[in-house]
Amino acid sequence: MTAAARPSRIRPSAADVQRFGLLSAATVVARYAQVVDRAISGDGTTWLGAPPDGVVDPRGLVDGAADPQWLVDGAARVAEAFLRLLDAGAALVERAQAAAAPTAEEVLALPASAPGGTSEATLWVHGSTETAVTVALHVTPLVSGEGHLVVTPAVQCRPDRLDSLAAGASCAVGIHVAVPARQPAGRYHGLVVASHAPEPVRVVLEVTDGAPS
Amino acid sequence: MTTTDPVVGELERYGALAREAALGYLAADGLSPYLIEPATEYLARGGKALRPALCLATCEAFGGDPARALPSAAAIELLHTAFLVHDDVEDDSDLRRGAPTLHRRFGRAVAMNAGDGLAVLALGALRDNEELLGRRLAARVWAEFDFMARQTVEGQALELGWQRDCLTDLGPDDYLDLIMKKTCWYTTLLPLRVGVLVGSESPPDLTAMLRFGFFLGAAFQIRDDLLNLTGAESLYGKERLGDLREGKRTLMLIHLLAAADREERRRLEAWLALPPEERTASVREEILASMQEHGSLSFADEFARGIARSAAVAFDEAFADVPDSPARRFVAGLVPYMVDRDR
Repeated sequence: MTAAARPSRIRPSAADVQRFGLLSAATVVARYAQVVDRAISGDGTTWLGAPPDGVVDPRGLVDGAADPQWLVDGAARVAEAFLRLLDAGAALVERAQAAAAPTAEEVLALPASAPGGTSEATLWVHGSTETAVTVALHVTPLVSGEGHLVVTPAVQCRPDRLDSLAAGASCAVGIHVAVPARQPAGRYHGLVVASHAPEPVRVVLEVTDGAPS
Repeated sequence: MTTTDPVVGELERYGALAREAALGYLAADGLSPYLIEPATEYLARGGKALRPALCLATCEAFGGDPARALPSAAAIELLHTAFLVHDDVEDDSDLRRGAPTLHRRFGRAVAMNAGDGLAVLALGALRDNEELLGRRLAARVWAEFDFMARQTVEGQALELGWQRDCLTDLGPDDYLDLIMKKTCWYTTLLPLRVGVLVGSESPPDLTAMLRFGFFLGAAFQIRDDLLNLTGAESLYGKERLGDLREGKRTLMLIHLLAAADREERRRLEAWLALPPEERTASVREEILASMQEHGSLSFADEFARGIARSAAVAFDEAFADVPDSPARRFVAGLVPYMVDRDR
């Protein structure tokens, strides 16, 4: 991942758009799954979406998952990041920062893991802007072809912020996944997005059947 | 569409069953022809009847007698038709199912009342569930309809509110939330969930059904939005570029707003602030050309394909314990049918 400017408009690949569609839709489903049956059977809270201020939803998601508000925020962040990327070219031209950037698609393959295990890989962030910048990193939930999710805190960037990344400097960032114990097997996809970076990095994790070795 | 031909045949068979039952409710009470004529005219136009067909087939696939789901299927079709009548008035549309909308043919007041009548008759259809299914299950089915109706009207209100307030700062997640409410509950989720409840007399894995239903409904709605821009009016049956005239916040428009440069976005926002009658055909064609230039149509198409591909997998999950049968195969076949359709 290179924190650099690129003047041309970025067109994501068809596969990336398809993944983005699935990720966005799976996030909506995960949020509704929390409340819909209770709302219909009438034995619980009937709000949908975010609970009122100060109210904590006592119903958890699958193990390793976060509260529903995170999903709402997460989806918004992902959508915002993606749309920003679509228009990255114009925004960057405006800043008159023309620099070459690699066009090859970057994929970070995490080591396969069984449910209950962990997986980690390292991503290098290069500071190719002209001055030092602070880089914020965000990893999206991982989503399988079946629409199953692994969300934070099970998926994390470590660290999720690089203060004052100097021009020409490089810094390692760990992408850490604690695979929930009952996570269905499958191939999971996600994106790492970073401020000042024109393109996201795809993350792929194979969750295998059986106990962790 | 060779691959979906068997689906079309079954769709017609299930649809005819549901439409006959719905028309039966219209005829049963000796209501005035002033109400029956416009209401019947719309029902008899013969839409795809996807929604009641999905309910009947799901019931059958889960081991139930589809006749036990017939009042619910009829109620779905009656409510759907009521929504369409009112939706056409709200959008001031000219065409529906290839013919003038009800308010164009009979006038606004008659059309509104016919829509009300269709919705009220749907409630009557659901009363028949008590005798057919027993009070407990009928009450649960009623609760499903109640929840769906709330979601649908809220979704419609959101869409109208976004248009009235000229909202442009929207992302794909906003759009998906909108269509979950506005479309998916009554198009796929309710028919599937009621079909499972009546067919199996228990709620198996309704979360898996939620996933399948939303993926299927979302892919269907995005396809519908694309057809409004690119479909042949003679096949699609609605006014071409009607969504642009109404300023609907479709995925393509949201993408275009994000991809446009500052000057182009400013022009778009000014155009969206106009009343619908001032969004002329030439401006609509210009917007469509911008969408093509910025890849907004292909973006939406691929976005929907990602969801649709997963709908096929989600189907296997939701119907995992259901043995193979023509009804099961029909529901599976609806996935490509609903996503690849041209009308």
